[in-house]
Amino acid sequence: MSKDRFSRPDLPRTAPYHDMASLLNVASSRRHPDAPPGAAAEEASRAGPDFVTSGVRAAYQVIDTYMNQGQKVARQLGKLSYAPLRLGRRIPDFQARWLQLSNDLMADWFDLVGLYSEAVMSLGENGAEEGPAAPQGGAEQHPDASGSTLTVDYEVVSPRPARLHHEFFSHRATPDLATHGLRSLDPTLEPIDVGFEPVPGEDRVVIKIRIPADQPAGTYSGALLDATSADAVGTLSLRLG
Amino acid sequence: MTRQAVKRYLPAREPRRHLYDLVTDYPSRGGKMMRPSICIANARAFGGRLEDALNTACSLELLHNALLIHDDIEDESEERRGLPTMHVEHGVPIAINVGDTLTLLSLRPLIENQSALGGSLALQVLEETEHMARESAEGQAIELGWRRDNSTDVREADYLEMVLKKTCWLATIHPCRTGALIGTRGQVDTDRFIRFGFFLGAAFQIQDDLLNLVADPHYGKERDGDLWEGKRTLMIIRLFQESTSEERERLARTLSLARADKCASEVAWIRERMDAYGCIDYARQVAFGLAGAALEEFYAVYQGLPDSRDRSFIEGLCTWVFERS
Repeated sequence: MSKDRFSRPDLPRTAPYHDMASLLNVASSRRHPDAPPGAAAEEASRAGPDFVTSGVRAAYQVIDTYMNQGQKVARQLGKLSYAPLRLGRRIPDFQARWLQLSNDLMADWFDLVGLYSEAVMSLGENGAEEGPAAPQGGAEQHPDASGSTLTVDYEVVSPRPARLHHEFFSHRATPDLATHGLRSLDPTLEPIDVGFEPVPGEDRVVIKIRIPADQPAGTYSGALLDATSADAVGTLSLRLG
Repeated sequence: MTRQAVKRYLPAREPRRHLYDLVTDYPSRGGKMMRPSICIANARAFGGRLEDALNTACSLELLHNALLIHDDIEDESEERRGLPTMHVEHGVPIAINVGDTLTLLSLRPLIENQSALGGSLALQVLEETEHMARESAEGQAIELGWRRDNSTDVREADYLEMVLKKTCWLATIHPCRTGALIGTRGQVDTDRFIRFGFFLGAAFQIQDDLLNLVADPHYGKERDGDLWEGKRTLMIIRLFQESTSEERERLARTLSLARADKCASEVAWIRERMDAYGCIDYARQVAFGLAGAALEEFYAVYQGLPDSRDRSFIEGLCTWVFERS
């Protein structure tokens, strides 16, 4: 096998060949039949490059003007067309998607704020009491089914810190309350008794709780019942420290 | 493959005689399929698959044929691809309706892009199509306005701007842009194709205008049809610039006449004057120059791509525009 390497002969050209007329080997003249022989070729060789230069220059001016107009319009419209970035139309896409996502999030956010506000108002109205100072109470108002409001007061006697929380189901608040007592999840622990004392002539009820000195720490809870129908109208919970 | 795919969007149902049989007429006359080919080649050159670009390619061909029917009416053309134009054969009202229907049919492949390409990319292609259609309509309006007003002061730059809008967007810029979008899954700056598409499309249009003036049975259009129709081509613009004042008056008078009122001897006179003033040579030289500029722009846009048959095809378009008949 020969060790001589094959090599390609040097090309006659050293740069890209962009003379289209030569490239295509097109005869460049189509002259009036009365023109003297050779006049067309002479004319073409004399004027041809000027034609090309002026034509291409005009074309570049047209396209530059067009692109500039496009940039101007794009800027006015706030779009990124004709931008030097190579991200194309993905940015407007992302903008649109983020805008939609933001709208959705804002809607959810307002829903959450609404729910949170209700909960906070409910908490504030129910109050949260800590012992041992007793009796203590809070007061809150609940709209009932008839549109009237119910004020709840507390009287709590406890040897240790205690936090109370009650909550009425929507439009179920009533001063005529009862409960089966507040119970722990640990069945061995004694339930805590709760007393209710409606204030005559008012939409008001006093919740009275006396916690025994030996009551173990923990969370105790129970349903608030309508004393007449025994329907559940809310919940009451106590966290004992 | 694209021809077969296009047929899929041409309904074979009633009413056949005055609609669907005619809808298939122009597409079945055997066009060059240049626009879909450019779209597919760009998609593949940028790493995409032929199947992904097929819907868009079909849409392009359908819309192109729709616009041809309307153009033929507006230009009062008599021949298209070697046969009588739609309105000559079937009357203007039916031809307009067939063109409208083809336009609507061109939307279906773009809708089907949603399942083929995904919603975001399909929407981008649709936006591109809307942009292209607007540019084409504006370009057509410019040209029709010149003829309506019998404008005699149209400059070379005016002509090139009209061609940019009327021809280049549909013929070259849009196919390049949509193809590249599909190939890159939307990750390309489509504005980079405007210059290349413009120079290529302008060279194509000037060569098309030149072919109109020479006798070639394969050309498929009426010889000197542009002169009969009073079109402002680069050769006519040059003739206005080069001729004497008496000749300019005669030229303007002839061009202002409706096609039916023009006489063959006057059209022949215009053609003879074009030769006398070297207008054909001038236009050919400009076309060559624009093709050279297109080649330069090609290297600027496509130089980063690996060599491929599709890249070579796109490059070859710069010389092909002069080789076609």
